[in-house]
Amino acid sequence: MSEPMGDDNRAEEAALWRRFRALERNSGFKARDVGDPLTLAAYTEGRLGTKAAEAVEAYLAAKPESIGDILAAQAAALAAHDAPEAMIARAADLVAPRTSPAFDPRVVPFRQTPAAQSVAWHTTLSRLAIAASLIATGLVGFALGSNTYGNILQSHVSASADTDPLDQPAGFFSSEDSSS
Amino acid sequence: MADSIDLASLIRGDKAPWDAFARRYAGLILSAVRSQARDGADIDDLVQEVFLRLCKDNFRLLKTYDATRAGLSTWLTIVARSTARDVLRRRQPQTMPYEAAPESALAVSPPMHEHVKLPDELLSPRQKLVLTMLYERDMDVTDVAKSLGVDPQTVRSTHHKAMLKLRSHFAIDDSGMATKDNPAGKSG
Repeated sequence: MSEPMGDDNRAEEAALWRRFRALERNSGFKARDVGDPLTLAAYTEGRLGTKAAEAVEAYLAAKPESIGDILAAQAAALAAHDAPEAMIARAADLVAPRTSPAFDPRVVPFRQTPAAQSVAWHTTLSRLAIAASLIATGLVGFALGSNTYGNILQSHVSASADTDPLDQPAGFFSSEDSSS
Repeated sequence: MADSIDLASLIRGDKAPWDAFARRYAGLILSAVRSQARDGADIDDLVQEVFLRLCKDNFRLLKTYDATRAGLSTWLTIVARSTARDVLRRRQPQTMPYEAAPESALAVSPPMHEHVKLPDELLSPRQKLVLTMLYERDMDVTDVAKSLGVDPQTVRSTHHKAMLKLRSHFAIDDSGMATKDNPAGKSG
């Protein structure tokens, strides 16, 4: 048996591990899902008990991409972090200031705008205006017509004319008919 | 109070604590998602997505944080990376050109002829994690030791014991691989 992690054995040991993995996959092995962020964070900080830590380690071994999260979280604790002002402002804008004590961030009420309330009024008013203008036009037209007719009738009577200017000829052959 | 941010007020919807939270942790979230993003635009979007996830549904995710269990920075880093991974996975096209596929995705697993059953607990979770870090993430012993908070010698020992168990289980000798079912290592 050679020394572990030696260069000579590394390829062979890696093959052995891959073989174990393949067999494990074929056997349908599934690690318990303990990948919630709080548990992983607690593991990162060494706050879990032995059993809980073992469960997380089994989960990490089954999901190697999560190992990167642990490593990043460990590194994050040691580094200083800066962000551009625009990025900070954009994030800050996600939460609007409270407008009243009864503000509930779960509910975004639709504002009752005056415009929305006056839509019905506008419609009614415009219909009334159209109706009124039709009536007014009718009345004016009727009045003008009556007036004109009155004037013509009056002039017809006073002038004792042979023909009524408004009296249309009876027809094309009406004179012949009457003469005959 | 966590890391001097008034989380109680924050999750009640107060604007000022949220602003302070954004100012304080934008940098942390930025560095957490940076390694996973493809370009600058991606990074901005990912950071915003993380903040959005934290505050949406009445701060539902932020409410799951428990200061007695872990530090806010640690938790946020894990949340940020996990969110970024989810977002990028959603955006990833379902198909990719053959040349763009990583080699591992194209590898054909050898057919499993062996029917050796793995005994329960053949390897402990710690042993599996150490081997995963060494062989699947290509970490060196020092880094593995650092991340697990143990001595490098402990990692070597864990690795050694794991290999002994695997060798014994698969009955491997220096002449090559062989299974218990097929001691000569011949196929068929």
